[in-house]
Amino acid sequence: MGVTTGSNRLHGFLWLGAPLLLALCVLAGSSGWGLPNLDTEIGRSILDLRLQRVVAGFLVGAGLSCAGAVFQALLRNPLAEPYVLGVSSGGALGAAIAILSGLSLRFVFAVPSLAFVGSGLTLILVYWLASHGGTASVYSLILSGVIVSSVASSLLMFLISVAPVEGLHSVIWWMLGNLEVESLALLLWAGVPIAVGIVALWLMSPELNALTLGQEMAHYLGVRTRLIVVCGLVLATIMTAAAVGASGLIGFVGLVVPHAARHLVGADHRRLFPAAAVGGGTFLAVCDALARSVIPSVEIPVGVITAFVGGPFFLIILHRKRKAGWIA
Amino acid sequence: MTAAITCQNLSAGYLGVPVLRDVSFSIAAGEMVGVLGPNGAGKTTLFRVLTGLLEPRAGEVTLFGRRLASVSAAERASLVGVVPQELETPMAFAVAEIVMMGRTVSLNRWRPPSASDAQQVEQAMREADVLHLRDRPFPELSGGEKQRVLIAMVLAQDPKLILLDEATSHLDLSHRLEILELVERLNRERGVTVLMSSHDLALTAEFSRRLLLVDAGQIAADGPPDSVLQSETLRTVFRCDVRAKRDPETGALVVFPVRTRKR
Repeated sequence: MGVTTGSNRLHGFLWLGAPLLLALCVLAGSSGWGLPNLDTEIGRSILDLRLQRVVAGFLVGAGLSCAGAVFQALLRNPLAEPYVLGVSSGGALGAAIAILSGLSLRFVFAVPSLAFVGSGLTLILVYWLASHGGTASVYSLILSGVIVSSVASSLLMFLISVAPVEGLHSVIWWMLGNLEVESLALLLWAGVPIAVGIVALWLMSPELNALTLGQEMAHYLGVRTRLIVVCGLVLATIMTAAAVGASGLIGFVGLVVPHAARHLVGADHRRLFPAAAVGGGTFLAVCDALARSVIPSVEIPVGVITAFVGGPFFLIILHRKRKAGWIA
Repeated sequence: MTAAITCQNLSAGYLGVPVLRDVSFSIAAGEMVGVLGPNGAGKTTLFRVLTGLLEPRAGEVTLFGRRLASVSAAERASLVGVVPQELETPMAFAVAEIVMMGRTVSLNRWRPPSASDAQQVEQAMREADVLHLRDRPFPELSGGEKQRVLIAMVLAQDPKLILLDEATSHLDLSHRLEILELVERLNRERGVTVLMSSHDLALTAEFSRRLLLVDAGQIAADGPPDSVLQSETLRTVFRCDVRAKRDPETGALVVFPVRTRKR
């Protein structure tokens, strides 16, 4: 089917440019640009670390972008993003508990696990509040998301305010977002749910397309709306929780990458998910490469880079193609 | 002839507020029926029950002999489709993509739309005269074009019964006529059963051989336009002074309200 909403030149740039950029990311590091000396033990482990980070960046970026696309479709709102229902605040609360209680020093998986539990409980609470006395409408979901999110945030503030100094630093550093994944096991722990989630969501593309017309219209078209909404929210939450658990609160990616992807390939989710995954993954990997190489031997939180570099970049895209993709 | 719709002792409402009260009627396959009545009379609630969006509190709905409560979502989509008053999509889907959503239940998850899906979508766009708009972003279209796209979407869905829920109320006179003529042609050529609600009494009468007048959750009148659109009946149902006449030139029914205070 002919689609004019995407520009072929930019589209090609995405599929050809992404692998190239990812390869470049491996060359960037706090120890300097270029491939490390692979003849030495240190050189090899530096390369290992960089590869791990590029993979982590790609997975987290892909997960956040696709989760953002789902939230935007299900909530029919251009401002929706992976953190809109409070999944992030709940996850952050869980992670802060893990760090401040000292659990994170004893178990590697404490932070991601508790972040996961926090995110999951938040979604359950939000959905339960929103669907009280009927089906969960878009507005009640957003509203109860905002409420639960602010309650979780205030609990987090409380924990931070009474926290000892050393714990405080770890919590804040975690909240700023950081792709330094401690072990390969942790990477798999986050990567598997993200990869599975993206494929599962991609398979739901026809229903997600219909749901952007509203739950009523989707119902008329034969979609089991409640089932699909719940599945979509659960999958997107799992992916977000996995990303947050692995790397903290990295903002901006999940909000803007889906928009940029729609500009490139159009609104159809069948094409949107692959584009958002590759685009978001590459974007975050590149941002992380900048974060660890811009200032020698100092690492900037990647969340700072995503907004600082990404903002102007996406503004240009939006300015050039305002009409295509999202009309607001 | 099989009945397209039968409703038996149907009652329905929202959160303790009854709207439809003990409604029974049936519509034969191939009919084109108008549903009229004041705001809040229960037209929309009736449509929501007929599409399975709202569960009846009592009574039963069957579509083409199948109990609505027991059909699957996919089968329901093959029985009944809806053209809403208007459709808003915040995302800029192309027209062809919107029409393809009519095929939602038949699409294969693992593959792009099949040749037969694509063909059905193209045929639907041709019949609704929107083929030339196929690559345009849907939100940029005019009101009349959008409604034609929605009709193409419901044609791609290919249900046996189409509900038009005030589908022409946002359109000007010529576009109302255009949409209704299109629907009438589909009713004749495809044999689709059509149930359409509207506040345009005269135009609905012009295109229907049968009217249902709904008032306060019950059917106040049911029959050919002549018998339903009587001044006295309309006065009690709409609670204002209404005149129904025949236009001497065209023979069409004309219905108009009369203001109570003189200028």
